[in-house]
Amino acid sequence: MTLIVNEANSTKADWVHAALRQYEGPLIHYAAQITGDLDRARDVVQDTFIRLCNEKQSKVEPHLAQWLFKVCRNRALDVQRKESRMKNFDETEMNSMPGTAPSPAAEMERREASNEVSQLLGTLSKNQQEVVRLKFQNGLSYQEISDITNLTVSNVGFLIHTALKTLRQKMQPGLAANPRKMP
Amino acid sequence: MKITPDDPKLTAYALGELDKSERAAIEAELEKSFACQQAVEEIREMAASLKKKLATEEMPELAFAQQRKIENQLKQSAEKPRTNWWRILFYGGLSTAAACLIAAMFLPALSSGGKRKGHTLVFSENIAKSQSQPNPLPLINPDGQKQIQPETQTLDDKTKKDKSSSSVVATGSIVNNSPTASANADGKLYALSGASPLTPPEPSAIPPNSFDTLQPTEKPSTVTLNNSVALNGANTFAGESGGRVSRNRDATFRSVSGISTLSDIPISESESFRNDSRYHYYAPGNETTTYPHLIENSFLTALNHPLSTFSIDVDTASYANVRRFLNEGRMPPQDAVRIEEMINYFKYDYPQPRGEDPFSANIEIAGCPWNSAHRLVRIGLKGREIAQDKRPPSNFVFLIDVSGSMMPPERLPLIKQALHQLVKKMTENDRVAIVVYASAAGVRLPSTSCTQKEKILEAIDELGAGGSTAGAAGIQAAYEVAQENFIKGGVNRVLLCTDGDFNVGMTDQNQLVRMIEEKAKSGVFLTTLGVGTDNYKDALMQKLADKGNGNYAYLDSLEEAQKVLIDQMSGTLVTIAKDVKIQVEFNSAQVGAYRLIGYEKRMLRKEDFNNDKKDAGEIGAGHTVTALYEIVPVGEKIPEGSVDPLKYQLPDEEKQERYVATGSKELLTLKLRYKQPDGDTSKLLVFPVTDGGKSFERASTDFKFATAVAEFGMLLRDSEFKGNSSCGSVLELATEAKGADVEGYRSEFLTLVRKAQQISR
Repeated sequence: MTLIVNEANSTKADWVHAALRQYEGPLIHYAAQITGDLDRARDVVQDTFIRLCNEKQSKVEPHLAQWLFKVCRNRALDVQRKESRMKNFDETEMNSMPGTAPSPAAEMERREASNEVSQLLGTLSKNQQEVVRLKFQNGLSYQEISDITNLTVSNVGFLIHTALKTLRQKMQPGLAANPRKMP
Repeated sequence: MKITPDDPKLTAYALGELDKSERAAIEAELEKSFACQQAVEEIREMAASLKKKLATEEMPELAFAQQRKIENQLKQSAEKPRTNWWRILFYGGLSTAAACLIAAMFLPALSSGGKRKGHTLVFSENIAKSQSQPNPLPLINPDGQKQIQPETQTLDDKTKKDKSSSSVVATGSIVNNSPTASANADGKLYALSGASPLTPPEPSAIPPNSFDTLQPTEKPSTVTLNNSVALNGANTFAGESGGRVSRNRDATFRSVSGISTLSDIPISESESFRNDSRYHYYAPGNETTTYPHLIENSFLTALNHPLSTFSIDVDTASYANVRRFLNEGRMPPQDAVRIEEMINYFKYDYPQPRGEDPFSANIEIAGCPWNSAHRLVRIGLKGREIAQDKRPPSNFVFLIDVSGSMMPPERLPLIKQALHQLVKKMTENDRVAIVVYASAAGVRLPSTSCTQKEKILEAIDELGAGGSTAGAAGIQAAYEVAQENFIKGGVNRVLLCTDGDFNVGMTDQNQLVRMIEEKAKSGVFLTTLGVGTDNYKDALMQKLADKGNGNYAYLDSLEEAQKVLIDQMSGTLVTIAKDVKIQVEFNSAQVGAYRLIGYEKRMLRKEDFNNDKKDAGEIGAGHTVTALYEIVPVGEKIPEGSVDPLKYQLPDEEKQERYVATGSKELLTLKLRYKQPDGDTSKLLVFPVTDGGKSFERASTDFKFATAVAEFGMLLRDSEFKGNSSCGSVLELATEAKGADVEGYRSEFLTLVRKAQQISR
């Protein structure tokens, strides 16, 4: 009754591959938002998975998504810090800037100008973009997002709330005219 | 607490982020404020549309070199224990060497002291230690151990990942050997006749021919087995249904029977069967979807294997899966093609059962299009239809996988739409609960009467994907909810919606399957609805349904969901007979050899037929089940490997002559067993059948269509028995036999055949 072993994700390789399949794309998008550049984002994600290979499966598996996004985020911030140290006058600008001003993120945006999603998200602040991706692309809960970003749960809630509001107005411009809906 | 429409709490509420007490507080506020309700609705809409948009976003991939780096790391980490081992050996060796050296330097001195022996000994012990130490290391580290194999896999996987599809095709090869160890039958056969309706005809008019022949035999054999009624030809008809036997040459030969009740779907292979070597698993080429390796049933002689026993199967998942492959422009892996599921995807026009038995049994015998010397026997069962408004009260638990892998639109969003539609069809007698599982499992909606559909629909809409998959905990919780709300005499069913990727918690399949088997005893039935493509675990889904008194469908589109859950709602959800088994005894005077087409995973041992503890398939309301046997009449060449003549048995020829000398005209005897959905004892039905010699041309439309589907299945599996089948002949046949095709499924079949034709060119 035990012939059937191959199917469960019993090996670490299977596990890492499954994680790759599932999170590769979302992580690159996520990292790109921080680094402002797809290529650097790919490097960050590669590093993230390399670290995953060295982790104990049993330890990470129960909160795989959080682990990946958190590691990816830290790595992306490192990379971005290093980058900005190199041309260090950019630093302040990069950290505080909403996506509207020209920036590496905007650069990327231009590259994918056809991409409706990045256009849409481009109207949000970086922080908002980040939590929106985690919440709506990756289905993470406020709590999980809070663990990843070190923001408090209520901060996360606030960011999502305001992001949705902004997007609602953007997507349905008519709304603004309706006082009931636009308190 | 006072809230305004612009309160972040409202957003948190709309997104399902609040705990119970907070939720209650908000709900209280909502009652009072229309504006807030409005806001909640808008937030949800926005969230849903955002999710949808984000799901369509193009996903960048790592560069090839980056993927390689990860693979290398994976390999290294897999080798780590080994590396350590070598390192230790090396250093250990080094130190031993050093010790030796030192010893050597001192030896002369020592030796003179006469202690030399002792020392050397000590040294060699050390060496032994330092060498043996490392060993335990790798052993201790289970991770490491396991990873050794994966290396190779990795490569494979990589190729897979590199997109493509092409490889899939290559994979599954069919190994043929003669499978059914368990089945037995032997005998020879002649195929005789054509169509005689066995079905629930009317009593009075039992006509001559075929039935006459049938009667004698039947009587004797029948009665015996079970307490319940065994039917025999004439009697049965008369007593039970009062139908009329219409004898129609062209019509199908229906043997009817009555059977009474059972449940829904599926079933099972005996464990021994599973363990059997023909059932191994491997992952086909390019997907991680795993299909058990199926070895096609081959011809068995009626002399040596007079009995053929199998469980019915009404699953249709394989057809949907095959369709998905063809629509994607590639051939399905051979092992993904289960011919019986393809045949059963289509509805056939068998008569409704009459009398007390819950289904009718039908048989038709005609020529075989791919081998003119052979005959085809079609056995068809048809479950009683239950009108939508007569559906018994139901207690459903939707068990939904909301792990991260369910995020793509063809997964969770598809499921949500499907359930949405299903709930809309429910009535105030029904209850629905929702249990979700991802990293953790939880009851999302306690069992709720369908008088509150809005609430249910809302709960469905709120589902979002994220996290890894702890399937076992979810299954546990779902069955608990189902049992708490059990409706006696009603329908109690868990609907498991997943891509099958159970990766957290109890991930051992056998354990999962055993758990389901245990839960099935509670009287709760199971439906598994599979979605997704890449990580999809076809075999596991199927097995869970089998063991859970369930049925299994693969939803490749909203249309398929519509078919399974709405058009055939009663069939999928209401079980009318369970543990339905078929045993055919072939008459060696007529049948040389036979082959059951498909049902490889449903074979039972001959003893299992009378064993009520042996699980088998369920029939749902209105379901039809069709099985085809290809028969080599006595005297025709049997396509089979040769065996040396047996030393202690009568020679086959001699036996054969004796059987033929009996002059028995019967081709076979069809025996059916089933239980009521809530029963424990099976009822037996027995029907002797004679072949009227009908040619294939005169076969019924449904017979022809089923044959075309079987032929197509054999082509996809590249069956060694396909004879002179070709896509061309399938097309011709299916076009002719398309019939009214109100729902368009048969036209779609034609399209698929054409696609396969193009792809294989």
